[in-house]
Amino acid sequence: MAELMDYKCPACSGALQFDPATQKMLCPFCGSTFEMAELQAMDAQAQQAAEWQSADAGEWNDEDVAVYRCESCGGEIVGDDTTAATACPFCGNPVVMAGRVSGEFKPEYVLPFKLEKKAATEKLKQYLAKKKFAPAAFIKNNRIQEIRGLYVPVWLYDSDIHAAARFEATRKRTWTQGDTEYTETSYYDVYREGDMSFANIPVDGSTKMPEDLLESVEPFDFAQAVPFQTAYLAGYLADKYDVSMEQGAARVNERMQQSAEDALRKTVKSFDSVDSRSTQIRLVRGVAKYVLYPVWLLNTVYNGETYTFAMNGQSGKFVGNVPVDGGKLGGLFAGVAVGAAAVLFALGKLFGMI
Amino acid sequence: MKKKVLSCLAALSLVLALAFSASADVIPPRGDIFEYGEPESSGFVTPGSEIDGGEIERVDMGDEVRSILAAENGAAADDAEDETVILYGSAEVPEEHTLPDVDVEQVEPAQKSIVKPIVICLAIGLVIALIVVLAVKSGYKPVHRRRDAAEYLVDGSLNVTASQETFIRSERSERRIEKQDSSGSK
Repeated sequence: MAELMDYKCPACSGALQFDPATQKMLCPFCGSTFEMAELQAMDAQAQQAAEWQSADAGEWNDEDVAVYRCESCGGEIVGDDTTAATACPFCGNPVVMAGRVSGEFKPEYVLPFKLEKKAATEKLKQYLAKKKFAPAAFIKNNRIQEIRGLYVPVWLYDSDIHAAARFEATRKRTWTQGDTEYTETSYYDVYREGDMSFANIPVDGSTKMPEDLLESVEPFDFAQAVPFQTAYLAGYLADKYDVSMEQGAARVNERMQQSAEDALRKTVKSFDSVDSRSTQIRLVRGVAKYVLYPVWLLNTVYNGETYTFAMNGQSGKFVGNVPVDGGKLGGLFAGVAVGAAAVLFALGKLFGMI
Repeated sequence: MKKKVLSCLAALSLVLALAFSASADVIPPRGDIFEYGEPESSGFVTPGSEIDGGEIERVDMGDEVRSILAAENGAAADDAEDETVILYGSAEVPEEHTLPDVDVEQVEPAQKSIVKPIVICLAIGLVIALIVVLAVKSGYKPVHRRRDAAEYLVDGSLNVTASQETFIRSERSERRIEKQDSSGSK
């Protein structure tokens, strides 16, 4: 079996978990807290053991499935080949698969959770309260099927690029002569070239995490990231990356190209309109680092369909698709149509057009 | 999305204004409207014709205006018993033929059709409602990929190394300004 790590409270041997409120390790049983630095020694020992054992680990892998044995209760913990941290389904003991966060899979940094689970459920309530056109049954009977605090593997790209963009711009001049108004539109070919830098552009490193969901809860403040320690994962789920840095580069290039075009467009001034024709970027310097970003995921089921909500575990930004009640929307449509028609008719009468 | 909705509504308002103003151009601006009894001929008088010694200057729009006015009055053009004439310019009409403040609607029992304006207003209302509903619906699907990386552009890092603006061509268009008279003549 692969090496599992769980952090035992020195006071009561309870399973320690990372506490976002205090940014320390907390024992939920006796209330003891421990600084992260105190657990570094444990990390170092476990890391050594993991590296030594991973060479001839006896873990059973059946294609994508790996099975571990919980060291607290002996129960079987089943994870796939990307699971790095999870909890025992029998006793809830949080465990970290040390081998999955070591070597090439060891993150350089982690952005610790700042918001707790109850903040996520509270945000969901506030979020749904604003959705007036959601089905009443969805809001009232909303039962959260699952709430997971997940550390998402993310590639952060720092880059210096050289960009070139071409635009078509117009200038208009209008004047009146006699009873005729003249308009002259002049067309220009505008070219801009320049250098710019980007820092910490995140790209989803896990195929299990929908890319649009992760990007929807951006931005994350990397300034609050800390060097990685396994202990931060205790009490949360985590996956190792299965999207390589090279595979993620295509997405970051796409976003950088768009930003480069926007930045160069802003330098085109004193024109009445500016349309983009082409943009190219060239990477001068590119560095990627592997980090873990905190996300709360909540699942709910309605009418046989699963709705996933995500909350940025650092900033609290909350997103999720919500179903729309067709009847309420139809009522809105009819109301606006009739109201607008009535206003237009009244205005037409007022100005003598009708 | 809100910007898109606002721009759609602004464009719609502009179209509406143009539509109403364009339709208004079909019917000439109303000046004082006079009724002068049995016409000597079945058609409109032509410019320079005389009525009771007074010379009438008017814009001869022919059957088009006549049928429009007749339709507003709810009568077929050829069946109009009393003919309403719109006078322009400085024509003098004898006093006995002057009926100030007579509105077309008061000349004959007005049976102006309002079906067409209602249909137009409803059609525009439906379009506005569609825009609003689509905007509301899009707010319920906020999960999307990011378009750019603007938040990650390092402040002050942009350095423009080449800049060129080349004139290609120019195009000229013209529009005749329509002068509107405020009222007809007496």
